[in-house]
Amino acid sequence: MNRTPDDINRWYELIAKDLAGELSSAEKLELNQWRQEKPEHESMNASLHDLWKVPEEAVTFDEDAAWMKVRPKERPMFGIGMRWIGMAAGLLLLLGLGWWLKQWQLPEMQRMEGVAAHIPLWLPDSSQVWLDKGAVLEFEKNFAHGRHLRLSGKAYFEVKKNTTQPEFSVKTQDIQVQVLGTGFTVNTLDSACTSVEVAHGKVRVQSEEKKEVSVILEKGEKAEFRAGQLKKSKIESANFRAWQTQSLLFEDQDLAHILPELESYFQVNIEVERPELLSCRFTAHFEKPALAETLQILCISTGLQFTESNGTFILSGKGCSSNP
Amino acid sequence: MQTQVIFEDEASYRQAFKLHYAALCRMVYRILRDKDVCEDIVQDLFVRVWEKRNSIYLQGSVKSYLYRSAMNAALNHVQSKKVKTRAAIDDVSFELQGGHLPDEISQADDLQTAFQKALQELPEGCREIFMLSRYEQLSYKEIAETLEISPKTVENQMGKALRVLREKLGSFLQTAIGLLFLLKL
Repeated sequence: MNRTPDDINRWYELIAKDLAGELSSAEKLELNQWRQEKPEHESMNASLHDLWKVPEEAVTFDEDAAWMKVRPKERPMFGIGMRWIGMAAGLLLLLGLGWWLKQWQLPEMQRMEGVAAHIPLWLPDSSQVWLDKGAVLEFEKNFAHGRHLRLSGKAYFEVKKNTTQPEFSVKTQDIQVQVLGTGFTVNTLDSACTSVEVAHGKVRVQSEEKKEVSVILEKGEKAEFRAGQLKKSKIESANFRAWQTQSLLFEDQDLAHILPELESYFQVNIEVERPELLSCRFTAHFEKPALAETLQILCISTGLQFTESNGTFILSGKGCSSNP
Repeated sequence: MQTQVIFEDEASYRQAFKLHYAALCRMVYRILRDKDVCEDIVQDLFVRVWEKRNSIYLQGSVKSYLYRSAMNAALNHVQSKKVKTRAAIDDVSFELQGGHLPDEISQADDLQTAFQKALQELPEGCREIFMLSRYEQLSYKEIAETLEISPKTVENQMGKALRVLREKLGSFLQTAIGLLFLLKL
């Protein structure tokens, strides 16, 4: 059989997709069949695999040196009109305090990334942090210039009292939290709203942009920073640290309260068939709960059933209308 | 597709830098063939993106955005400075010699050298697509987003790259390659 040019181009494309890992399973079958048709098909396939193995000429780039050039700088020290004076002063400083400036300007940073939220990580001052999956925490190695940290994502801190370095601060993109020995959660996961929740102790939360926007939080209080404003309120749920402690506690609460907490813990959608069901009440304590098991227990004690469709769980049934 | 701010904070900026800096440099290097200039361009890109982070809203991924910006910056550099890339100079010199490139390829000492020469012979767009797939492991979708072309074009050009390379390197692929890999091992 004669191959038309179109045919042969298609086989090149399929082999390329195979090499790049882009082949669908149907195309894979098609390609395998074609390879077995004739020895020259197999040899074309083999030679393209060989070609793919040829390494690129090696060029290397000094990433660390580059990072020093592009990393965010502190505020510029001098205005534009004073650039020359600024440069002269900079030179003098460099000459006089070369080694010291170098150490001061290029602190060695340490970085932690959250993998398992329930396992605490130790900080250099033996404070502890629980980092939620994907959260990133950065601070200077050994807290050489104080206990200052930068966070994106969600984290719970247990801060150890330290008389030589009493201040402990956590910055996010929009707020700063200052602490004196305490336990609290900072959450930047919602890009429109950063929140701080205090389990015990006392913290001050301050806007990064306007320092006068600040609140002091005590045990059981939380603050939400949204659109430049800080709002303080009481923590209503006993489960605000559930992501970290891996336990859920419900004490005679209605489903209107319980379902949002289950949704946030398990990262699923849960709906009720009829709004009346939201008034069903439920008491339970779960340690390391699993979703199916939790819903089963909830359904048994409230007389409901649950079904799943497209990732949403729906509670239905006669429910607890007879209950007080 | 969801719109999002490019960097939430310094940590995510740092992460993007760690992930992509070297790869972006390699990509620009392939176009400009000048290590210093390509590092300047990519560093400048990172600084600019960080400074403007609050006014950049992404349609696709951070990765595609960075690759596309670096690619544009490299091409702008070629345009504005009228830089002759080494590839272009090579082309000119081959022309002067009467276009003996295929011979040159077959007479190259090893497959690696021949392969580099054959790569330079590919049309620029075709070469770039091949390199992003082969050496930066970008998916077809990411390549399409980076170069603002359709995934179908990526598919066609990948096939074309393999066909042209195989035609140019045929003799090597049958004879030299086994030897080359034996020697390297």
